[in-house]
Amino acid sequence: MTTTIEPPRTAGAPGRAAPHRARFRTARMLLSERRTRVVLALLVLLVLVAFVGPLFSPYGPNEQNLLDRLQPPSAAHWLGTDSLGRDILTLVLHGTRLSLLAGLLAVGTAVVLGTPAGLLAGYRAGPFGAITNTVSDTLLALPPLVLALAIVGAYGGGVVPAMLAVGLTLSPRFYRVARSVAATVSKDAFVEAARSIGCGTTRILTRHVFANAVAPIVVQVTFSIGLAIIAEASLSFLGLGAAPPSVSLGTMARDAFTHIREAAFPIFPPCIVIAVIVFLFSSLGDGLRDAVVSGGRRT
Amino acid sequence: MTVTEEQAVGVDTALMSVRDLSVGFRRGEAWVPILDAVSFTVRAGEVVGLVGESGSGKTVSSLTAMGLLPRPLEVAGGSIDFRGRDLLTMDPKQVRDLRGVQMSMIFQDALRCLNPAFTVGDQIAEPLRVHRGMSRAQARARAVELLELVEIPRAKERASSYPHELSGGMCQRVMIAIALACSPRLLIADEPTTALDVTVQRQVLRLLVRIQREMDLGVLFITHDLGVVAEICHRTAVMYAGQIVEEGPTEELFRRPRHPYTHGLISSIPRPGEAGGRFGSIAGVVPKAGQWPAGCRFASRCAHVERGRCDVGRVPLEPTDGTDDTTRTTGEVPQRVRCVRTRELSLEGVG
Amino acid sequence: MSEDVVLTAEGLTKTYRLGRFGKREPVHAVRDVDLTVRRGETVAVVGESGAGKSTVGRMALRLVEPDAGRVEFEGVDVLGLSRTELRRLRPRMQMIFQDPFSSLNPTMTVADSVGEPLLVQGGTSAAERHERVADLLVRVGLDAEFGERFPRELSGGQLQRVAIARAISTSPSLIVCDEPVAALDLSIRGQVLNLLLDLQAETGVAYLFISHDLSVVEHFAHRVAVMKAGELVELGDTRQVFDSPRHPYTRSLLEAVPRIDFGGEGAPPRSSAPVPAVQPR
Repeated sequence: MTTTIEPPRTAGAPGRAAPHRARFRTARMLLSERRTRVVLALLVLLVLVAFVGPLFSPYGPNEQNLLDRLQPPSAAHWLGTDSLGRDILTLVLHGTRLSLLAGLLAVGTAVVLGTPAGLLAGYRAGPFGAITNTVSDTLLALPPLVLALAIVGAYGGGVVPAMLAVGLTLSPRFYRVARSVAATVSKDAFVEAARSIGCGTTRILTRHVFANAVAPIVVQVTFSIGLAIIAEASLSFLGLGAAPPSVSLGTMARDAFTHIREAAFPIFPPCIVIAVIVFLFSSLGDGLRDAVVSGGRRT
Repeated sequence: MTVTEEQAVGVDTALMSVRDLSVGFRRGEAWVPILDAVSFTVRAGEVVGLVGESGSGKTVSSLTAMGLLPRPLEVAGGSIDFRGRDLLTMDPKQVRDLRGVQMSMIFQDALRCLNPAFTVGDQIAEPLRVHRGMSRAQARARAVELLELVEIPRAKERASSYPHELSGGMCQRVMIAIALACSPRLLIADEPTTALDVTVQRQVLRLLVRIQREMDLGVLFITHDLGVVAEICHRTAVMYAGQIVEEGPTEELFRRPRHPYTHGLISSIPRPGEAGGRFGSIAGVVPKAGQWPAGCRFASRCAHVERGRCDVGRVPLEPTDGTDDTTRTTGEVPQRVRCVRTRELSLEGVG
Repeated sequence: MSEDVVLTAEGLTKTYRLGRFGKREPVHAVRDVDLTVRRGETVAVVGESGAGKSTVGRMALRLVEPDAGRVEFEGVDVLGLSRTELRRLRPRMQMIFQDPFSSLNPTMTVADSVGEPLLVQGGTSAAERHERVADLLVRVGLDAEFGERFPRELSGGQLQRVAIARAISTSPSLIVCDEPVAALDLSIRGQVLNLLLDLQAETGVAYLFISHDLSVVEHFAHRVAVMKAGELVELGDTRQVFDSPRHPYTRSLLEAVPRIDFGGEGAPPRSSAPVPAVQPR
């Protein structure tokens, strides 16, 4: 008495757009808000200016002109000169470039140190997780700059050791985010399915867990770049980061601060630029995080 | 008898009358319809089943009737009459006064619908205090009575329990008690037993039937489970792709389905007592909202489709006995089908 | 030990401890369950929620470590294998999950997912896999071009077919089906169930079929194991269990299934349809 109703052909669901459109789903989801796209565009512009700008500058970053030191903004020097007569606008461009690279180094270190451990701890609760949790919590409890100072003090100054130290202090954030997201994703059936077909832990963590955990980690990256740039500026301001002939926004601020009684203006450019960069990265982070939470704009 | 007088007769017996309800949402420039001129009626003392699978629109229908349509869905047309007044045009405050008092609802996941921070007794008492102005003591006493009505043992003690201390079946009974607190005329039940074990489901269904009879409730019962429909619904409406494709007395629907989709659904139910054999099914997939074809929406999956007849133009929902609104003489709700070929087909039923 | 037996489970037990400090009572999710599954046979494990049937299925594949008991698969002592040896055994025993929407990685195409067991197993080139995936998709009733799509573009029934294609890709001798049609629409279930029946007839694969839906089990399984609260209360041929159940729990389960029975002896009480009292004026 059971009858089967079977029209001749196997019907498939009406096809959607071409498959490669679906491939960039995460990116499209993250950038669904207009505000996010605007901020990202501004950041890209900033980065372009910082890297390409110096080529257009008539001055070198270390071109000193002691006769013209601490001049206010003029036609020749749009942002004036610093205590050694160097053109501040040129310095700002070079300094921004260095600060951005430093930020990337710090965040890169943090990602490498924190993310794999977090993914593994989230995927598999166990003794490994207990150990890494403790390490992470301890790092979080230490004031980041103090730790960075200690490391840099031990190894001597310089941007690279400073940023590695900052990266270490930022790594617990990535550990936590990765662990939390991995724990959630690991509950999905496809992770268990991956185990049941014989995938090894590495493949499961990379192809299955991480691939579905990218969005929150990207959000964390954007927030952390802002923090890293402030950290670099702070360390350089204290004389423990970039050293001459390198120029960073922090060294510029230090220089301007030292000579503040002679000229009030030079402290503004580096500080404003730092503020703008951090603001843009934070806004980007906000926008991305909102997109992750809301899953992108509804159809 | 004039048409208007006779229609007035029909309206008087109806608790809730949904007419030509259309719901959808905007996607960019386009309008995506989800419900397409859906009409059904629930009268006092009868249980009406609304059956459908994914993409049928039954959930959206019930949400609209309850006034719980989530954004971005919006009503594009039609009316929902409750005892003569259109809910869609009423003042929101008036709708709120109606809800919980004359018209109440129960949902699928009882545990999630109950507030974990309050005892079940308090939660049952709440509508009594808000809508009936009872004092704390009065409401509490009535709550215990209601717990007894829904057959919860040791009602007086249980009133002080918290939702997480109760089983799924008991939570569902508590939700029924809350829904019945102010003696509503109409109960909307949205898949109330779907998440329950089959033995618990049987108990809860028995309870619902008993209460419905005692209180002469009208019930709109939304479900995908045909077995449940066969057991407790007097009349049933079958939905497919945003439309009602067949409606009528339940027994008649099962014994003699008039629409190929209904027939397909019934054939998909594994028949007890038969050994082995293949399972019935309907090949193909439901067309997605926004991609509905002109003409019969079931045509691509129908074994009885005829090109040139089934795929041209909108298929109307019409009474099976050939009558229409102008010639019907009683307030009876007629059996209706949305199929061009229904008079030529002889579809096998069950029972 | 007959060569026909694919899976033997003895004394399977899994205990969870509630409470952090071990003071609370242990909860027996599964206690002392024995099962055998032969080649080409379907053994159903039925019961209500919390009965432990899913846990039994997972212990049979050692996706969950049993606390006690023995599992022998095609003559191999599964519980004694190292992690690497176990991974090598996996292609022979596969699983289909309940929720079709979450059992496929959303960032992988259908073809990637279906081909993954072969990739992990090793020994095939990308071109060979590509061809095999196309064959598998056609075998489960989907067009080969579905391989380029992502899971979110497919319906529940189609996703479950993809999951089946993935499961049979390595020609396993046993597939554990964990409520494979529970999340699907009624009219689609038959498509998937008939596909499973056809595959069994063609390849002789055995199924351990976990379900709470007795009406499906009656038509699908050769033998039925009934579980209640972690224990196996009845085990026998399907016809026997359904026609003359021995255990009272089995009887209450069978009786609770909604029936389509108008006016019959066993029909539950229904009010008669109300006749409107209004008369034409």
